[in-house]
Amino acid sequence: MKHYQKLGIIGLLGALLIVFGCSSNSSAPASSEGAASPAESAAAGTAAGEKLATELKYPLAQTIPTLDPHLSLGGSNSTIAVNIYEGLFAFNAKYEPVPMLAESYELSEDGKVYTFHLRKGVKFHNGKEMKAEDVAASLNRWKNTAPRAKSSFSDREFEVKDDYTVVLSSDVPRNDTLAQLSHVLNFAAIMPKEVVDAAGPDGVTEYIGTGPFKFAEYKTDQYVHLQKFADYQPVDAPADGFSGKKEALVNDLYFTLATDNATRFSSFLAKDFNNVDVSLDNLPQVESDPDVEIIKNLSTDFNLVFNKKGPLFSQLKYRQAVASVLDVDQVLLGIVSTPELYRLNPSYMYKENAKWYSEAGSEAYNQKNPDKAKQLLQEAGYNGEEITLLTTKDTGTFYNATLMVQAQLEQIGIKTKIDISDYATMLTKRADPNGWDIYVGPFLVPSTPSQLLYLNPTYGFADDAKLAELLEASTSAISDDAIKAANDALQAYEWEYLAAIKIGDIYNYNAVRKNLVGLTYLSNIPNLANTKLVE
Amino acid sequence: MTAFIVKRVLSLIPILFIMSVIVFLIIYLIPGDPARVMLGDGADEATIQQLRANMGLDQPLVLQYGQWIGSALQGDLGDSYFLKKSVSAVIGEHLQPTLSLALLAELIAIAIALPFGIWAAVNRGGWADKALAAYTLLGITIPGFLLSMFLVLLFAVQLKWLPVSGYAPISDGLWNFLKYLILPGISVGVVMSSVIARIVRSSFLEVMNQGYVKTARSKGLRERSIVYKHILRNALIPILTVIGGTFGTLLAGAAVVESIFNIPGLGQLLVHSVSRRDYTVIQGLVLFIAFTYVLVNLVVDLLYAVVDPRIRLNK
Repeated sequence: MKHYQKLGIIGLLGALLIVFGCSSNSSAPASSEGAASPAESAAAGTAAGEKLATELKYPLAQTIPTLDPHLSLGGSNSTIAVNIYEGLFAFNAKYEPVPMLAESYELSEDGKVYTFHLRKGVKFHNGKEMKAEDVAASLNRWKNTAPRAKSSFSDREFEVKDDYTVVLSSDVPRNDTLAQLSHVLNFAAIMPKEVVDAAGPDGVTEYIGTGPFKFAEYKTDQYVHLQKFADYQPVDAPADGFSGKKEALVNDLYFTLATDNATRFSSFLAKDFNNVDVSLDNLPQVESDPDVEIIKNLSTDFNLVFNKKGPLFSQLKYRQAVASVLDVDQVLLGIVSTPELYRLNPSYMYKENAKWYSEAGSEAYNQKNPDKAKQLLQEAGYNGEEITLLTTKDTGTFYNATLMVQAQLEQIGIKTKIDISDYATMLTKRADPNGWDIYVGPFLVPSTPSQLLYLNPTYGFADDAKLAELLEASTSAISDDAIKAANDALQAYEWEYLAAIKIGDIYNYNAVRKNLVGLTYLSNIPNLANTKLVE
Repeated sequence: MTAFIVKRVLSLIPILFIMSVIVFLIIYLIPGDPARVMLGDGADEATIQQLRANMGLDQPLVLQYGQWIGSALQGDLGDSYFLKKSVSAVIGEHLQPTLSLALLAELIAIAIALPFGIWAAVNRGGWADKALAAYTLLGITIPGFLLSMFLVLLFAVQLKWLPVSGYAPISDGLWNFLKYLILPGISVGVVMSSVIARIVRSSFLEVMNQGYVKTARSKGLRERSIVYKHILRNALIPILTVIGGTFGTLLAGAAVVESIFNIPGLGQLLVHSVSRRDYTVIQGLVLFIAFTYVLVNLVVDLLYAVVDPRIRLNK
């Protein structure tokens, strides 16, 4: 028997050695030519007569609640939608709106009337030419349907002036109009009028746009298949962010659903996928591979949102106490586990978004002052009431961030409990002013203050007249100087009012095989137009 | 035999009715709202209520149940909120992968468990018996996902013999179909085989000590004939029960293995539907699973009657 036991142990160890022993070298080919950066490879690729793959599989980590771009706020929807659809404008890498389906636009001197001139000869995937009636129908549906658009556009209507001109008028100037039209979440996608007319409240039934890829098939919970659109009309400008020239370089694009992290990563190692998000645990397995490039992407920002209808945090002193004690380095470290993957940022906008970035009021950021916090609690009359932190474990980051905040609140004597639900339940609970006090979470692609959900009364219940007035002022300012002044005033006041507390910005790692050339990301959403796969 | 079948089938009706009520109510007790999930962060209350009304979620529960069960009895399980297809069609799409995986895993499990169990029983106390004890201990204690990951790393990532994950329908060719199912099939089959092999062994041992086996032996019958003709047939009932049970469990959704191997089966559908609060799919699917489970049990019961005529005569 002992003999067999020994054999068994030796066999098991042997198998383990095969699996884990050579993992870091195994996928490393001897070729050193592959070590060029993606940009260099792209340049070389266009010159050389290289063989390109006709099919590309892109891993999707999250399910797709709906494929309707006007309805969904999810990143998985946007990842697909930006390839099928285009808007009048698109963000460049600095979050500046650049014309896409619009040829040009004019803004009246008083800032109230936008006149959009459309590009001529742009075809939808059904062969029909895009005209003003399609644009007006799409954007009127979008502003009535998309939560992000409603607050800015609800009192305005896109009107057809002629076949290639659309007009948008309002009573007050709205300087966020173009940014709203460029946003990739709740995407202001242009689709044929007949598709819009046929749409019910639960979404469109056909997915027809003007983008470089056309929709082919959605195999439920498996993949979304897009095909190159042969009649695509690119704009004549260099590619930048989501703006500029696009060119489908593969015939078939598959967005393959792979929700399990380990499976996604194994599939990358087995070369089923040519890119993948990489956790710190998995990083050592790919970072030394000369065939793989690790790209660090700005992923999202994190905020702590108060329920301002709750018994404690309806009072400013309690919100100030939390702002005083917060050590955001610790919270961010708890989210990403390494200082490499976060940055401090007191602004509600990214630094890259130069027009709206502001450090006004930032002295209230990252105070790390428990004594001050205790003093404020005492002044507020805190009497040991328990507060509820609402979170979910559906993605790791919400929960980790909440745990870090909880530890810091308990440090100053606040009693806490964590309410963990799945994501769907958490959304429902958060919409209810009863039963929660604090929510810590990521906010995708902030681009203008008017799009910050927590500055309006429906999300965390920021029902404050001065905040609303300053928000309105920052949106209605016309000149660049006036916009800057109004935005500084808004951010300074937000740090006083504390509808939410900014925690910081986080990055993530993506591993990209070097034969996948031209892939770029903006706010963690990939731009697969201009991406090719060299065989 | 016909009367036996009719009686067994009729006894399923109250079970399925109770199951349908429980399924319907449990889902509505979970907080979370499909309209809110679909519309996401920042959707205003009016839009959410409008979508809820469109989905019929604002109706009283009794009315919703009545409509649902009435349609279900006519074979209509409603439409998925998210997938914009009938629930029956959605279940149909996801059934083939799960059924294929369950069948393959069951075949692998039986292929390992039957000879191994018989071998251990025949050599009771010997090294084969000890090897079985070690095998079943490992099979029961090693989590299925760990074995799955091990197989993926070895055969897919390192040796590159098989794909990591995915699924190809049988219409894509037999090898294409099988290559995606081999690893998950082994991963589930090995765990199942350890459970079945134990039952095979103990059931065999019990029958081996019966008087008729001794009689057969004393009559000088060949050992092979005694094992396969006399013992195996009589030891089959508990073995059929456990095989039926494991098959039923697999059909009910091997959610973990389907998730790891990215197989678009019923388990994965259930997980995704719960996260989306796609009520109609969850209801239809759980009802379908419950129905399948009782159906498998019915088939096992009928097989008992085939294997052992005393059973149908008693009933």
